[in-house]
Amino acid sequence: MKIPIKPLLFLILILVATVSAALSLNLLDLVVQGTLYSFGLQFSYEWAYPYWILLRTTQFLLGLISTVALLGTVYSYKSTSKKTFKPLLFTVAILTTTISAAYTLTRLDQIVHGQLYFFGLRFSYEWANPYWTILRAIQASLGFIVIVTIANTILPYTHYARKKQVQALKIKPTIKIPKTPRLISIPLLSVGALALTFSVIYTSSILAFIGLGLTLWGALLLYITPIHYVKKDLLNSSLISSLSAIDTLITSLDYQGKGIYMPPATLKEIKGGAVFIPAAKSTSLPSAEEMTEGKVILHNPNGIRLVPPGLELANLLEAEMKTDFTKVDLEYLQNNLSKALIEDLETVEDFEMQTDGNSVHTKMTRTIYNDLYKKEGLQNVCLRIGCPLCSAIALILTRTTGKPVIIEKVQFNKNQDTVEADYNIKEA
Amino acid sequence: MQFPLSLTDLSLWLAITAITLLATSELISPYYGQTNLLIEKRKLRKAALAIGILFMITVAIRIYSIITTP
Repeated sequence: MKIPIKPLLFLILILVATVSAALSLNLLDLVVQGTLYSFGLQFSYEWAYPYWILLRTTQFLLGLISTVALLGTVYSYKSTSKKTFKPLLFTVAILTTTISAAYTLTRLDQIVHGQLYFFGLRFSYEWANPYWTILRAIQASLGFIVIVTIANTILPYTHYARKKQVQALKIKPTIKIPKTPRLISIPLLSVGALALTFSVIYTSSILAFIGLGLTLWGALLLYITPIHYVKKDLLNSSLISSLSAIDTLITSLDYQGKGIYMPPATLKEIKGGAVFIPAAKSTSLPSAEEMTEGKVILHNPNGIRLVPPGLELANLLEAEMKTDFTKVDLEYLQNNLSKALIEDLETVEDFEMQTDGNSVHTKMTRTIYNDLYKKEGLQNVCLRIGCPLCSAIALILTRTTGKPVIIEKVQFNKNQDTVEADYNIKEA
Repeated sequence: MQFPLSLTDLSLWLAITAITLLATSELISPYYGQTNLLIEKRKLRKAALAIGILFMITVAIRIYSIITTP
């Protein structure tokens, strides 16, 4: 039978931490009940009773942590075949016990550093230094238990959530599925808030730092969680059908011309867009009247008028850049389009744009639409009117220049994973 | 009962956190090809800048207290 390593590792770590904490507690007791008598401490049941009660309680809580961890491991080992593994109960139990142990330890420290001075104890670094070292060691062990417990709870949950998402999608993931940051952030926030509260109650700067750190990262993870997530496969799958329909249409009509992106002046609305594919290899344009009529099949010259695949992407880029493309120039695009494409929308890894008179050359590395170029049957669309990204850039160019734009050449380099496109700005 | 950290402690903590976050947000920037990391990078940068500004505020408070203390 294959024994799962992770629960065992968790148990070993917890046991090591509790044993080291228990040993350190015994050393602490030796300092208090041995060394301190050499520094003037007088024995009295007044301080000894609460001290012993707190010492025994801390020892009992350490034992309880080990027992709960052991039970949790046995439970997780037994339920590995089941899908509904819920270690949250054990986590809460261990965390509560650990925090209680930390509390009793603080009370113990208060007795030593408070009450014992009334029973003849004189302060000296000779006993205080080893005492503080041992106390910090116990606190570090307790902190370690908290961290290991939280990590042990989060890992199976994220693994389970990931498995469920993959099963729901029924397809192999090509990029990382989010590891449910909310599951991490909520325990972090809760423990952080608790630590901050205790830091105020017991005036502990260590607890305050722990609390601040945990609260910050909990809040941060909650804040930076993606609002919406769409798989790349899903994006391409939904695009292929519509692009394939356009491709079939162009092929069946046997239209030879390259797509001409029409300027906003020839359209009904400024945020709209139209690409005209002439029947012949000419670049003569239809009249503005014919374009504004909204017909699909045009006769003067013969051709077809389509909504470009990158129309909404162009509008989205306009919104992201908080600008109006009709009011900017090519230089502005050259300086700012790369930021919007790379940083804001994360559609490409690298983007270059060069202008030379009426020609514009773009080079995009690893676009999210690269797979479309590898797909059979989409060549007509991708090479004549461009992929959604090339189409969006053509639309942006036509809005900026106010002139028709033709995608002269689209070249996909499989080895470098780049798409290079040449646009020609046609004089109206 | 009082909050155990002084302004200096908070200032140091904010400085370290801000540097960590700013460095992280820079390293995971899409400019370095990190386009498949599923976190809101702009939000992370905003958070880093916000913490950086908080640190600057603590510095300003300290400068003010140094100037005004006779």
